[in-house]
Amino acid sequence: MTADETRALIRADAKYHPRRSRRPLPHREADEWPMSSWAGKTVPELVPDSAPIAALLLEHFLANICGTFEQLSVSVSGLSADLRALRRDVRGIADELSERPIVRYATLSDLGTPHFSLMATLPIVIEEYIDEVVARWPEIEATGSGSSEPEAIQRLREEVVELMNELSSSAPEELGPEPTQALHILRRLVTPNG
Amino acid sequence: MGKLNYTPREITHTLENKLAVPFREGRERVGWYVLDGRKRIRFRIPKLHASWGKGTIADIIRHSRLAKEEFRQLVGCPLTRWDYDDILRQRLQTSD
Repeated sequence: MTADETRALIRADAKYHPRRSRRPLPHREADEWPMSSWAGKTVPELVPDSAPIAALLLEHFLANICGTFEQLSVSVSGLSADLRALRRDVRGIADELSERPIVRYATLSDLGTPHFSLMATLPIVIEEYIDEVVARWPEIEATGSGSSEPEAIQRLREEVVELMNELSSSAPEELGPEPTQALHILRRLVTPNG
Repeated sequence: MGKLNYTPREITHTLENKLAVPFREGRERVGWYVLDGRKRIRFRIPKLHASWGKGTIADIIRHSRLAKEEFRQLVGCPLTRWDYDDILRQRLQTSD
């Protein structure tokens, strides 16, 4: 391709993009061209009357840069979406964890009433929630709750006594397997005084 | 999915109306859920105007033998009482 053919090609490209400015560039030496002045200029404007092959190379180089920037912007958009999804997941996990209690294990050695005695210490679970403490005897599903551990344990004592009285006064045929088993355990571990 | 943010009224309404648990009044409200003619699950709930902590709600869910999502469906209506009975028959003891 001759230099004239190349120039014709470049000029045809300039005609195809009519919005680009066709103002002639001021004459400057090569080392006086600031990078910012390249923005928005066509190749013929950037390199008037220069070697057409160099102009084509420059256009190819600029097109590659544009393509790379487009790929980068797509990657950044994808990363932003991933970050938003990750933030949602982390928030969900934090909410889930905030509702899980701190669990400790303790024993109950007394029911706090003169009417009943314990034949053995009871293994109990203390669950400390953000707004409440729950004391449980899992074996018979007895629970006491309060704003503090002593209060929760006291409520558990009362619950054990109440459950004992309630199950003892129920007819055996009224009780399903679970309350029947609970009554059996209570009779083995809790004895009435007097 | 894991939030224990039920209102006392929602849980009380579900237990009293949908599951027909007959609560008796006291310091707290206590009632038995009857399955196949026998008492199976004892529910203990605070009074409506009392404080319902996350531990209390978690304990009610635990007593119900339902997972958190199943309990959500029980309160939110998709899970009927008959569905709940079927779940309990699978999960509770079958022998005396």
